[in-house]
Amino acid sequence: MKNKSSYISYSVFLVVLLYLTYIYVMKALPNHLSDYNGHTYVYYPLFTREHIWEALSLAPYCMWHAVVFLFNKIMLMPLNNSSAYSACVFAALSFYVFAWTIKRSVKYHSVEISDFTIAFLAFLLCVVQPISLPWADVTAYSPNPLYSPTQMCVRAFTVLCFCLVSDIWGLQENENYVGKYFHVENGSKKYYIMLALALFLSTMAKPTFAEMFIPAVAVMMLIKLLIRVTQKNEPGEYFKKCLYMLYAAIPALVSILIQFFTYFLFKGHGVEADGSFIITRFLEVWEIYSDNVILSMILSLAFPMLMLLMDTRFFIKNSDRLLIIICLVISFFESAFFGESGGKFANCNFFWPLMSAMLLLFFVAVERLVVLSARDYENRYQRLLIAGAWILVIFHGFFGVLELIGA
Amino acid sequence: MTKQIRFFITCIICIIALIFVVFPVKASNMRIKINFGIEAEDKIYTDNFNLYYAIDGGDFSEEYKIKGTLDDEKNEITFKIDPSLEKKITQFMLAFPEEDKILKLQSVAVSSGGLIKKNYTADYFFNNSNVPYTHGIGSINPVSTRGIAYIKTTTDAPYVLISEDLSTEIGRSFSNYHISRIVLVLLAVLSIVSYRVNVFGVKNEE
Repeated sequence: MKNKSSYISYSVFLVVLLYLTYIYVMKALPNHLSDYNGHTYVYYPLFTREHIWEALSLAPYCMWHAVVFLFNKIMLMPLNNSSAYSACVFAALSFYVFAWTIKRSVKYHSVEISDFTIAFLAFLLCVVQPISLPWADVTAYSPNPLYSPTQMCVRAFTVLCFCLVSDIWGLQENENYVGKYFHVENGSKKYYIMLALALFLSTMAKPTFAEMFIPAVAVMMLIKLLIRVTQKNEPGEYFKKCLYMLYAAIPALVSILIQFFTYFLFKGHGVEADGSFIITRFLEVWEIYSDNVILSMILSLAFPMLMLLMDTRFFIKNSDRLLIIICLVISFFESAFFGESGGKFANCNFFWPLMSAMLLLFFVAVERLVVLSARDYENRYQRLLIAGAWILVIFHGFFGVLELIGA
Repeated sequence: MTKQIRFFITCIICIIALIFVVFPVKASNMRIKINFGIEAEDKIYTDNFNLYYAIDGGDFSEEYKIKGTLDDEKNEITFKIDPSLEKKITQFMLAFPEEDKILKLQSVAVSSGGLIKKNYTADYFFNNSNVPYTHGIGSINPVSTRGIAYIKTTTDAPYVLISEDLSTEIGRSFSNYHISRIVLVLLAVLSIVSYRVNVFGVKNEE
């Protein structure tokens, strides 16, 4: 009976998510300025035998296009429906990954929560948007940029890569570690391979996540290595583990390099062949859309920021949570200093890593909120803080649903 | 660490935070946004709106002109005013497209530093006391019950002069990010306090 009700919980939230996603994409497609329109009617049609090289240079990260191809060319569906169904496939994948990881996490922490709550949280994570205030006149970036098919495509891999790294690090630190998300206690080799695969697939969905995640992991591991060297705590052994991580990143790095060279150096972006990679003045691209970057960040990350303030120690004391902070810092500096020249200057293409980092922060904050909510508190301030956090995350979700229905 | 050293470090941090908050920085851009409502019949299709400004009581000229940009989705014209004009603008003049048309204006918002500083209803903004002179304008009808104003423009260089009082009020809206800097300092302080207090007592968890 319990199984039946849990299936219903997941199904209801999934159906609502898919319905909203489908409607959103179908509405966005006729708009010439929308990313969905560009990817569906400009880039995708080039994926033919004659134009394949041109297509790959325009959009080397072609996972989304491949799924559209599956619906359009193999299942012979109309192009607009194929585009919407592809978005739904990736929305469902993200929902599944969120639900599964939250379920594993609560089990690890021995927290009892219903499947309805897990499904609700997975749904929230799939839709959360920045909080919109009537007196704020800024653009706030979203962990779920609904308008970008490729960024929405990479979300599931983002969370998977983080969970894999978290568990692998857990095992590297402690041989008796029991995996939080994966059964790494049975041996980590399989999970290094899985990480390599997930990272590679993420670059095929959109390389921007790996561009931020790999350097962040490298920075963290380097710090750990230096600490071990100073403490003389088996630095050689740890160096080997660093190398294993590097091997896992190699397929993704090769993929990124190929995509980078095709896109920027061979001027693969044909139609608007005037953009190349540039270093900008600090926050130069940001300032086009936001006069107040601090406010933009607060609106985007109100809930995780509150969690960070409530439970700073949790985020600082743990290497995988610290990894997310480093991801956020690295991606913020990428968005602050990198840009594209010419007509693509205002395209904010170096903001994507920041959005992935925001998603990870939301994910960890939600996970933490679930664990904290399961405890009994005698202190009324603690209860107040937990209630405040729930209200904020629900607000983020509410603005997400508003965005999806186009209100 | 002795109490004195801790007190000394706290004092130094407080002084740095205070300097960070009060240190004069370049003001933010100011944006004046004129909204025309969301109904289909009120849609405007041109961005041929110009905002002229007078500096230190001088005259209006082509040199002191800001061209509006149209936000099609919000049906809104935005004028972006450079921070170098802070405390210099004494009067504004709003020029409309040269066409015979009745425009329905909803509101005029003034924002700077990402915050909306002033939000005027169109009936207030375009009432007689705030618009002392017009040219090429058929009529201005503020509808106070709905907070809107109808302006009939003609092909004869239509513009409205905004009163000095209202212009000065708008000109004072440049933001120097004081609130944002205070918020940033508060966030930093709160996270340090939270770290020390450890509200949820998770010292040895995981």
